[in-house]
Amino acid sequence: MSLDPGAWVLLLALGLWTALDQAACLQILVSQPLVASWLAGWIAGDAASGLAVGVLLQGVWSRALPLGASPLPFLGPAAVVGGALAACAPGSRVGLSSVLVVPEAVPLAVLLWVSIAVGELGRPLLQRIYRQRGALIEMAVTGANEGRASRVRLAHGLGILPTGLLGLALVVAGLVAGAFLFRIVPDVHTDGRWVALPVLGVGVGQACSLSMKRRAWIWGAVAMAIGVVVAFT
Amino acid sequence: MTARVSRLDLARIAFWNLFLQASYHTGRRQSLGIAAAMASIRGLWPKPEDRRAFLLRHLEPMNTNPALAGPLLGAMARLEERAATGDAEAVSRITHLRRVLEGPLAATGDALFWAGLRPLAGLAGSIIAWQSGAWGPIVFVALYNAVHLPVRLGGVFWGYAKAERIHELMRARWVKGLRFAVRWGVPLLGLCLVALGASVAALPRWTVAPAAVAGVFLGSRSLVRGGLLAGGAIMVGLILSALFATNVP
Repeated sequence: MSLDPGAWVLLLALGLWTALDQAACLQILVSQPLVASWLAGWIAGDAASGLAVGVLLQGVWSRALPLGASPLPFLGPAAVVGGALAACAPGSRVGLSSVLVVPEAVPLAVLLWVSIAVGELGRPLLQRIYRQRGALIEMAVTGANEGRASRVRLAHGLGILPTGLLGLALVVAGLVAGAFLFRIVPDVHTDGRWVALPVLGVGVGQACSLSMKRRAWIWGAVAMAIGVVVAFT
Repeated sequence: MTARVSRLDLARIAFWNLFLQASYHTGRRQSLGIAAAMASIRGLWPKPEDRRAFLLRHLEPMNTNPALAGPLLGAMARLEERAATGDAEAVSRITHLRRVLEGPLAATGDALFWAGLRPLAGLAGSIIAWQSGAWGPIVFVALYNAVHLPVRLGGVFWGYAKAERIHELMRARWVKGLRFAVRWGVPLLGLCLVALGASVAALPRWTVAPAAVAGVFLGSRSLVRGGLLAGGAIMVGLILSALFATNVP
């Protein structure tokens, strides 16, 4: 896996942006895998592979919802790692559609696992950051007691720092881990669609389960019928 | 006193609302973000003791959906204005409004935006990405933010105009329309994506439908987390590829 220094800088900037988009500011969903992985793939030199992995991860994390402030995987940096590794994965590419391509089965499995692991590792670390902001709260309360709104805003703004640093650290860790694993995995050249399509399937099913709690069996039956009919024809 | 909240003040609140989660804390939740946004109208309270009380009451713990925080911020700005012009009960109504509406707005916003619009836009974006590449993520971001940003930013102005009647938001026509679109749009778009996956010109197309059935059942019963389920699917895919796949050139 080779990335030039410019690509590293851009990937780190994207990791920072997506980390903040998810956990600190804007929340315009640049941190969602469909966008973050595509951008990371584009930066790393293969937008089509990055986008394909983004489609897969978007489904995987479709049920990752911050409902009632529940802990959420750190999707943004994880998606950046997934997209960049997809672009740098060894071996040839196979077409998922006329525009999307995926790496071979083993590198694809490795990069998806690394990406999921980065997201899951980010979950408790992000929660830890949320718990350890007592000093900022104290700073804000002191500022409020003095009637100084600027100190309240400063305390609020400083909260961005640990979130951004965690995002950067996770992107670096994920890319290094992925590059290492690409070197040691067995040299098997099988079709990546064997891994991509089951992941796509469970992802779509999970996304649909959000609005189909009681009637999931109806959707499941229709999906099965459509899948069989389309595959036959 | 004739202090008033100007449109520029509301625009400042809307701007700071974009950074609402920057200092999210497990105990105080979004209180710093709320206080930082409301500090835009600190000019209503020129006396130090009044300003102190103003800042401290907005540092009270609070948690709501970031997209629907705008209307609440606008309504609180309106009540602050009334308090500053001599309405003695306005301050207690600010606290009451926060306590009463943070939960319902959070529930409505989470269902509408996180569990509704996001998967809907995600599936639409994935289908478009499948066919047209880069247009997928662009449509995804545009579709989500076409609703999200007007509510989050414009909601401050709307909330200021409505004041204590912002609960009307939960019965708004567009909210009902969005719920309807999500209820039917997500399953239908999901079926489209299953059909696209099953139309791939390779043997693994047979794995899409069974995997989708597994995903919807395990997901609807919250039996397995997304990452773990995907990990299992990856493993199954690897085993199948070892058994059936031919080497690619």
